Amino acid sequence: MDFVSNIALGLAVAVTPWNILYCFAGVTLGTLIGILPGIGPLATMAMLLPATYALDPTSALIMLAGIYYGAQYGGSTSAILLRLPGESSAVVATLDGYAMAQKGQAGVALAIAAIGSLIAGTFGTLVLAAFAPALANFAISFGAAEYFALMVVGLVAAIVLSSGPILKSFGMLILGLLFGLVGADINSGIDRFTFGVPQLSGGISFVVVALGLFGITEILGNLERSETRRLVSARIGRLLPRLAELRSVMPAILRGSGLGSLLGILPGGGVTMAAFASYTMEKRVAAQPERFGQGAPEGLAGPESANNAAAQTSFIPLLTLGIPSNGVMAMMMSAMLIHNIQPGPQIISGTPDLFWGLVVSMWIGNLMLVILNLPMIGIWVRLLLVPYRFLFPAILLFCCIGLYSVQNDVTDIYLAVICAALGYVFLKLRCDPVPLLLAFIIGPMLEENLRRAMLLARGDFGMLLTRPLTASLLALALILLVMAVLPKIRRTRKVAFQEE
Amino acid sequence: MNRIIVNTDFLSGALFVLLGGGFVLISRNYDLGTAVQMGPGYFPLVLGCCAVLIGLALIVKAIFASDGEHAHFHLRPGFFVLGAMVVFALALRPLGLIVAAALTILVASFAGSERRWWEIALLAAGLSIFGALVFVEALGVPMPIWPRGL
Repeated sequence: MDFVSNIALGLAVAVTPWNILYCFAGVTLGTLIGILPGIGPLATMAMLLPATYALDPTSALIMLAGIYYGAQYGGSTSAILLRLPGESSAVVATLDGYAMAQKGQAGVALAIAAIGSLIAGTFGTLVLAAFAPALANFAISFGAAEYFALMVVGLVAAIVLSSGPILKSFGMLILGLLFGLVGADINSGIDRFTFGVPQLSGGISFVVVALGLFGITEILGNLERSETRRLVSARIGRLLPRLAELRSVMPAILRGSGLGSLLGILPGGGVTMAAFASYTMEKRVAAQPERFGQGAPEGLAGPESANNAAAQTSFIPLLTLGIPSNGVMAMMMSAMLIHNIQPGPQIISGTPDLFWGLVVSMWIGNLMLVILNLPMIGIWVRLLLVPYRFLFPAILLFCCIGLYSVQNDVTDIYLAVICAALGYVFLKLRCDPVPLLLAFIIGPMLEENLRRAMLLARGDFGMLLTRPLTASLLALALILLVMAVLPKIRRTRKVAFQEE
Repeated sequence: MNRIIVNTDFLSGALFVLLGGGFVLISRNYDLGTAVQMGPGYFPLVLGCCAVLIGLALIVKAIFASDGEHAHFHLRPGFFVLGAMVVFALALRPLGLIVAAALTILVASFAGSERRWWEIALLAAGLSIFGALVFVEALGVPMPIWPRGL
């Protein structure tokens, strides 16, 4: 069977001592940093991205994926114990998870979140393994025009489904595309927007933008809030849920896995949306909906499973179409590009060891979270109590060293200062920086494919529309945009994200 | 008072106009090309114009909508955090990682609301030694550890 031999190939790649070690290092480092309140997966990945550059591509991606799961799990932990979510998808965990912790069931809450994540992760990995090759086969015949249209749909869907106001998100998207153009033009070799700085002719490095906009900006945002951190209780309580408890949350975990896998494939806020949608669904199917918010285990298990399943399946657009659907996938994509791997449909057929190794290692990473991190919860909790005035100088210093290490040059530090200043202004103006990051990484490819498509179409934009697939993709982008502007949908969108 | 208060829509509009306009101005120096053979200036020019239009729309919205949101800027954290990064970049080559890291921690500590001198000294010493051992010795990041000429 094809499926079995592919998984076997993945196992052979992922279960080497070194790759297991990198996976473990990623998961542990990710949890370590992600658990710090106010630091989400994006900031964590941005900080640790330079550390993966020296590894070989497969190991780097395995480690980065591990960092992602670890950071996400760490974020849920601080959400449950402190009611301080590291990122938007963990917001839901603060509702019933924190309520459970208040009732002295912190240990059970953490265990349910971890077990739900593992089951959902397994499910999501299977969905990924089953559907990605088919999608890639379909996409491998795409021409420049189709790619251009696909990227437009991806970007438009990302801003429509993200949380910010449409107009601002759209503006951020355009800015991201523009920033992506800085550097030498591929066709003519002319340096664009470099202001004569030679270090810029290779383009602004992704780490600079990601660290500036997410890492440093988060420090600035956190420093404004006064420090009020209190653990719900020093006692975590028993860790292992009883069989009856596990049985009662199992339907929620399975529903969450299904819903999350589906929503994760969509571009945009897949993970956050999955968590919120699952919470709403659990509340609707529950026999006593009034228990929600008072520490209902289903209200934690469902969303935690959904966001993990979505985290897995959001790899599908990146690995099959080469389109990152959210900020985390933009990080993965930059790691691939650094190693000269072009994400897209050719990955599965061209480098099957990388693809299947990554898929299997995702599942191993999820397993490690449960069997290694759960027993270490005591250490993590102590970490939560370290005051922020010790943490942020350390984070800042490591960011600086990381920035320097990418090109062994201080220019990137200065550029990151500019990005961080911009990021702070964006934060204050409520402009969501995720569309900018996505557009930044897609920008050069978008231009390249547009140029090639226009050359083939002899400069006639109407020619693009005569290709059925291109035309329908562009129409889809237009419909999404119109829908987002319509008042009724706008209201629903507002409701869906009101808790952020 | 180190706080500035402004309408978010208006300011983001102004920012988009400013940045977009900048890209438009600069991209006029590059060859525009034709729709068939796009030059290096074509795509940025179109995008820059889009950014300016979106910015203008936001400004108009801010002027006519009554329910604008206001942004509060705190200058202190930004000044010291970003300042600490600049200090690191300036100090690294001539003074080495140990001194640069200690200076960075010192400057950064002013960004927070409270600080105790012995804590800062301990943190600076611990982190600079940790940084030198882990990043330079173990991970092999090529940066000087001690001041030049020492």
